[in-house]
Amino acid sequence: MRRIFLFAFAQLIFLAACGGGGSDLTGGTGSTGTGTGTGTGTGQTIAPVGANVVQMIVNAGPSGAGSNATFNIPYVSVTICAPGTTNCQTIPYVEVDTGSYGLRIIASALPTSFLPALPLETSIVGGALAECAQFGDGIAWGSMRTADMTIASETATSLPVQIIGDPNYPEIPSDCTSHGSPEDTVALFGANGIIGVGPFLTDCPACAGTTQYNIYFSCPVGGGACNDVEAPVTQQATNPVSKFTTDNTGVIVELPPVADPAGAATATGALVFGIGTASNNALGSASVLTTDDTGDFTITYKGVAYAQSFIDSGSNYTFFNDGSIASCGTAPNQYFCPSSELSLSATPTGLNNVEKAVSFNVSNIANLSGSFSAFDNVAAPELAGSSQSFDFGLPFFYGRNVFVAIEGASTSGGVGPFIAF
Amino acid sequence: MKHSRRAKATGLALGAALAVASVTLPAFAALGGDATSVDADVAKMKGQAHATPAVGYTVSQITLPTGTVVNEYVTPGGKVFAVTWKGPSVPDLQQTLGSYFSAFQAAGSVPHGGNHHQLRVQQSDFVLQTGGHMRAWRGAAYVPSLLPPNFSLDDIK
Repeated sequence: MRRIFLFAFAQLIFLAACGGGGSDLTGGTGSTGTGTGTGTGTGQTIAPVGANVVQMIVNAGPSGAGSNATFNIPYVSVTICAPGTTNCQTIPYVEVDTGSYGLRIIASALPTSFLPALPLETSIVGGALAECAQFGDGIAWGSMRTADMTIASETATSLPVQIIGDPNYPEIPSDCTSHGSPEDTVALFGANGIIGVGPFLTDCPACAGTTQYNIYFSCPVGGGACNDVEAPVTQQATNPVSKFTTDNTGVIVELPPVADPAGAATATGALVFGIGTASNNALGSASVLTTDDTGDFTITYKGVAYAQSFIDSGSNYTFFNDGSIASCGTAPNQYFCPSSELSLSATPTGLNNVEKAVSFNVSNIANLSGSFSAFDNVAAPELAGSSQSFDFGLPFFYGRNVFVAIEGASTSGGVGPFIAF
Repeated sequence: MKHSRRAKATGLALGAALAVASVTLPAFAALGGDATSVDADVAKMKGQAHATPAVGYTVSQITLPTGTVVNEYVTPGGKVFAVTWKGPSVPDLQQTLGSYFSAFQAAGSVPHGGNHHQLRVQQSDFVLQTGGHMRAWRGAAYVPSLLPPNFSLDDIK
C-alpha cells in the first residue's frame, strides 16, 4: 500500500530551498533540547554479524517494489530444520516483532515437500494442534509443528512453530474467523513469517487452562473440523530466544539512523541475541524500564500519561493521539501530515519509575519518497478518545539500540520483562 | 469546553440518565443493532455484564472470561452506536461489530504493509481502529450517523 508521489522530490527541493520552513532537514542529532536519550546516531554501535548476531534489514519486503511493498518492517533470515536432522530450509524476510511471541512461517514460503518433515504437535485431546493467532489486523491460522530453528549460530531445538496457511488444515473454525480475516499469504502478511521476540515466553499462557481465548484448536490429523482446546505452554508458540542454550536473556534491536526527513531506501542493522551474555551485548548505560505483565508501561506526551503504551518493532508508524496535528489519507493508511516537519518529545516511564525522554520528528509521509522503506518520522493518529496508548513503532528504533529482556531472565539491569535503551 | 459541559450536566442529568438506563436495559447487541434485540453478545461471548448510565447514553460493559472488557455504547433509543474492547484476547468481533464486521474483514484481506498491530477502517458510516500487541489488544469502532447529539468522541473509552 505504498503511495508513490510524483511531486515528492519537488516538495523536498522546495523545502530545502526555503530552509525547511522551520523543520530539521539536516538529520543527525536530535533536534530539540528536551531529549535526554541517545540522539540519533550519537554513540551507537551496531554489532557486526557473528555467533549471536544476524543481519537485520528494513526494505521493501518479500514482494519487492510495487503495491505490496512494505516500509518500516525489519526482516531477518531464519533456518528451520526437521528436528534432529540436516533437512533444513532458510527463510528470508521473516519479520522481527517485539510485540508478539513465537516463530510463524507462511506455508507457501516453504517447499511443499518440506512441510511433512516437520512433526505435528499432538493436542492434549488427541489430533493435531492448530493455532488461531490473534493480531490487530486479523488472524493467522495454521498447524503447530516442531522444528529446530537456527539464526546466526543460535539454535532452539524442538521449537513449536506455527505454519500459517498449512494446506493440510484449510478448514478455519468459526471460533477463529469471528476474530478477523485470515492472513495466510506472503503478500497479505507482508513477510514470509514473523519471529516474535517480545519480553515474554509464550503467546498465551492462560490458554493452558481455558479454551475461552479461541486461540488453540484440535484438528483431525489430515484435515477436518477443528475444536477449541487447551494448550500447555510447552506446546505454544514460544519466544525462540528463550530456547537458546546461551544468549537466551533477550535481544537487542539495532538499526542505524536514517536521513531525516528524507528517509532511506533501506536500513541495515543487526538483531543481537542475549543481554549481558557476551562482549557485544552489554547493557552499558542504557536505561532499564520495566513493563507490566503485558509488556506495557506509561508514555507521557504533551502532559498526558498514556498508561497502556509500548515500544514495538512490528508497528510501522508511531501511533498516538494529537488532535492538533493534521491527518490525511484513506484508511488503513491514515497518517499525520503536518505542513512542515514537527519536532516532538515523549517520555516513556517504566513500572520501576525510570523515565527517559525521547525526541522524535513527524513529517508528512506523502512528501517522502515512495521508493524508500525506512523512515524515522512517520506517525499516525489513534481514534480520538478511545486510546490510552502511545505506540512507539519502528521510527523509534532508528539510531538507538533497544534491549528487550525476557520475563525471568537475569541481567545486570535486573530481571525481565523490561525494555532498555 | 467538552469537559465543562459534561461537568455542569452531570449532576443535573443523573436522574434522567438513570431513567434512560432503566428503559434500555438489557442493552447488549452488535454495533448498529437494536438493544431490544437482547443480550446476544453476552450469551455468545459468555460474558458478565453491567450497565453504567452517562449523560445521553448508556455504557453496557461486558467482561469476558479472558478478562477482555467490551464496552457497548447505547443511545436512549436503544441503538448501539459505538463499541470498544481491551484485554488479552480479541473478542468475537463478528458478534461485536455485527453487520460492520465485513468491513473489518475487507480491510484485513488486502495487503496492508506488514504491520500486524494496527488496522484502521474509515468509511462514511463506520470508523474502526484496532491496536496493541499480543497480551494486550484493543479497538474502538463507531457509527457516525448514530452518535447521540452533543456526543464527544473523546467519551469513547
